[in-house]
Amino acid sequence: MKQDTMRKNTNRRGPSVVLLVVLLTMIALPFLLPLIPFAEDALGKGTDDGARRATEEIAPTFEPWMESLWAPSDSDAERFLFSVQATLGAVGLYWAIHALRRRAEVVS
Amino acid sequence: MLAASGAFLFALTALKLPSVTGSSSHPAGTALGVSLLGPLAMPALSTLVLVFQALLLAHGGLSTLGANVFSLGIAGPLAMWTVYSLMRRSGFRWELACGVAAVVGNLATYLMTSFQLALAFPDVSSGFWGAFVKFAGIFFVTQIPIAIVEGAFTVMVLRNLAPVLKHWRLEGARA
Repeated sequence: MKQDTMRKNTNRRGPSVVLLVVLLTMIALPFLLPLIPFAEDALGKGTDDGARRATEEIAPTFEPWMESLWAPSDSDAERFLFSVQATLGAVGLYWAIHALRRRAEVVS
Repeated sequence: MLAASGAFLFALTALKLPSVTGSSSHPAGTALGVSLLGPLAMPALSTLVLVFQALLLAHGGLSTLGANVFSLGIAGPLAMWTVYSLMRRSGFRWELACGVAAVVGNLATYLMTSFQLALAFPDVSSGFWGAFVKFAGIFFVTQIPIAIVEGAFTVMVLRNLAPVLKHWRLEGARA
């Protein structure tokens, strides 16, 4: 009985396992998605690119005001950088939830 | 709360998700911040993320930063907040209100993007509204399933924060 109570308290301290799995999946997603045929096709047809094409149809003479100072060399590099961003966000989110839950436990 | 909201926005805007329409797009990621901090916090958080993406990923861009901050950090969060407030006043559970608000906020963000693009590039024959329908058609249908996934994920994160929310003094997603 006492052990059950302790286990419940331990579980209550951290974020749920489901959330952890979702966050880990989120980190791996930029590399996993291209392996799925449907997803690979869809990733190649982003709405951003669709909007750019529509813009070119509407205003064929339009020239952007400025070019990017720097851009990822290829799609793999871009995927890696987006994965880095997702990792930083996912780790930060997990840490923040964990810290907030521990603080709430101390307060109560 | 600020760290959680920022990290949530940071993580979600990095994801390019395939949709049922055969194309892909990004979640908005502002729903958690709006639920926890309110819509006024979102322009600053959105600016940070958009500057990071513009400088390090060549995504978005500095010359369009203002337009992107307006759609992601102002229009979407305001729509989200309005829906959340109305649903809570009507007696809906906070989970449902936050979930629906996240979906609406995501779609509102991309509708505002379509509005901005149509203003900048009105169609030669059909004018502003023709261009708006064209851009909204590109974004909107693709965005619907992604918005639903974002709504569900937002509620999952908020449920993990439920023990914290009862101590949270600001008008947010109180459990």
